[in-house]
Amino acid sequence: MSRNLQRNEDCLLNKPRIQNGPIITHFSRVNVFTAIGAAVFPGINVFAVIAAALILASCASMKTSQNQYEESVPMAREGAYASAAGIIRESKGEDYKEKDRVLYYLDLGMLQHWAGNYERSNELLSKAELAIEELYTKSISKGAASWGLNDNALDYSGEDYEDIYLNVFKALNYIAMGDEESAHVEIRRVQIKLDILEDKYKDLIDDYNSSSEAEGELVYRENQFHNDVLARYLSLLLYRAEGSYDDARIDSEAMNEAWSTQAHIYNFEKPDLPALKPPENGSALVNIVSFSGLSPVKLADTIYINTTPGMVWLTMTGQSDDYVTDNVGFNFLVIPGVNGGFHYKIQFPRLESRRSEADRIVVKFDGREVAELDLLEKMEVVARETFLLKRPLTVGKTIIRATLKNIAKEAGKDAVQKELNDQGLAGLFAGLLVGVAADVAVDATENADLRISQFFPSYAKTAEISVLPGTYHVEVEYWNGQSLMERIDHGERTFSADGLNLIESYMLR
Amino acid sequence: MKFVTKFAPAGFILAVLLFTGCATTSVTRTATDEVIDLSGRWNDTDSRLTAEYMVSSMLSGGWLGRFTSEEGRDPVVIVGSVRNRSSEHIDANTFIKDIERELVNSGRVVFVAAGDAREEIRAEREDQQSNATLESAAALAAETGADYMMQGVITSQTDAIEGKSATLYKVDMELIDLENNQKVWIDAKQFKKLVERKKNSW
Repeated sequence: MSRNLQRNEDCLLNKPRIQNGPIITHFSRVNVFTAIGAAVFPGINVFAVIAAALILASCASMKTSQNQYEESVPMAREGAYASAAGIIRESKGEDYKEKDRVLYYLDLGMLQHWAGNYERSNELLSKAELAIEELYTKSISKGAASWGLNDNALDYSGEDYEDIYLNVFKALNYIAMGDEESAHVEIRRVQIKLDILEDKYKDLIDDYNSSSEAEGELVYRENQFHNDVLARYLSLLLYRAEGSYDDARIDSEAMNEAWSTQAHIYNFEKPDLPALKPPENGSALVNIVSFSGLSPVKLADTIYINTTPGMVWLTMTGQSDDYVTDNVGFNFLVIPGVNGGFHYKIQFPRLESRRSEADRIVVKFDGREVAELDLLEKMEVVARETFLLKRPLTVGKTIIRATLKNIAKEAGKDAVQKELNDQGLAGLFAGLLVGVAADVAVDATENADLRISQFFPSYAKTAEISVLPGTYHVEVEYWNGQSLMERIDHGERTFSADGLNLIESYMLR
Repeated sequence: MKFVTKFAPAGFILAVLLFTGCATTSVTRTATDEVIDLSGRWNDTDSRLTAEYMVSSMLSGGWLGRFTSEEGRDPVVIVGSVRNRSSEHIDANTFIKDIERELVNSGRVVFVAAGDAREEIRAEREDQQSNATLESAAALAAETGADYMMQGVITSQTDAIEGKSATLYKVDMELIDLENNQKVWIDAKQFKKLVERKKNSW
């Protein structure tokens, strides 16, 4: 007797939907998977299937490599950007395969920015941008739904926030190189990408829901990020510097709107926005943009699925049932006809903030404090917002893939045990071992894709200072409570009444 | 033998995967005026066609006839800046060179060098005063002053949905009388590029 899920054709699974989240799917016809499993794996030797699963489970491409970050991330936090970049470079081929090229270009591109190698940074970030664009044409689900694979085996196509912020940092690179026209090109690209994001996942989810392959309904999370204040801030400064004050005004209005139309992202007090024109008294306007902390990392949430007769149970190690319900929408399902004894896991990535330890950043000119920076953008919140847009697809395809794998596994285990049962007690014992090995192997192939760039910052803070034109010794101090964490010496800087007087400062702790 | 039979398909698949991993490079020479659109971005063809249009439009403007009849000579034109306010990195120098070529080849205006080229020539002329013979050294203060300056700006607007993007490029050019700042000719060329990318699908 096969242990595939047994149920009537018209006995629909309950329709689980996450109440508080963007997800999920329901499987209306689980026996469709049985048919798919049989069609995909006809006549395969069960030992070969289990051996293949074990081999796949041990394959490096089935897990996200994090080795390259063990030393490079602490180095970047301490300001040793060039050394961190060296480690990333050396990891190419080992921890970064070709499928991870977007990640490699992003990681190295950002470190080169922090190291002050602006031209090199732009080359790398441009490569990342092009690769992300190319990967847009690739299927995000078909490959992953294949037997034995998980998302780690696919090309990493970048998170949307990475695609957006890479243009911001390319713009800062161009500004540092004195090419303000090219900087503005990058800023304009941010808005184009935000416009595309508006419908990107809605279209994908609509396509899935209306396709003949749909085994449930994915719920679209409405995009509520369409206006990036950090990009607008830089745009305003660039327009003001070239004397396009009306364009600067439009950026200023868009920034103002963000606090009302995107209050869930800009959920803090609005800072003083830059002046639209240089002051008439001939003063120089100096703008400080400071980045601190590191962008979020991805961690895996593992959900174990176990079945008892007629029931499917969802559990998470170390978490209560309420936690599972909050995150998935349910923690058990009543499914008449389901056999007991199924055991498999599914993994989803979630974002974990790395924040910044700096709670106060002050600017000093010639040793005298002239401004405390105000928060302009929580980049980690933007990262989370765009991450959640994609989540229904991530979760949907994970469940489909895991279910397909486990149907095939159970079919294989049944066949093996049937063969071995005829060989007495030893055979029974061997069958049991094979079953456990199959469970472990298939579970091991189901790993969340934890790839995400590590060197974007967490917060952007700014200040605008009006001073007499001239040369000043500029320092930026990063404080945690009463402790001075870091004093960044920006040296002697000359500020003029016209043009762009921008200082970028950073400390990634 | 049984082992071979059982694993032959796997071997075949492995071989296919290995062979598909081999990359080859092929190069095809094409005429420089052949239209090749790969990425959908601004390219050399856009630059050339826009320059041809602009110079043709400028030379057919009423200002040219008025100038030649009033002054009895061809006008002297200099190409100033072309600002890029698009969402792409456009090499304005290539576009400026295309315009300069069309102007010179028209034979209807006198064209003088601008920008860095002019500085380089001046430096060479200075150098000649010390190092060249008196007869062969180029005279100082004998440059031809321009009557008009051509300036422009490139803008773009992109609209995108469902894997399709349409970019409208607009190139605005104008010719300014250097004596009185009067704009004697203005024209704009617009063209749209539609790029369709096969979007992610299930």
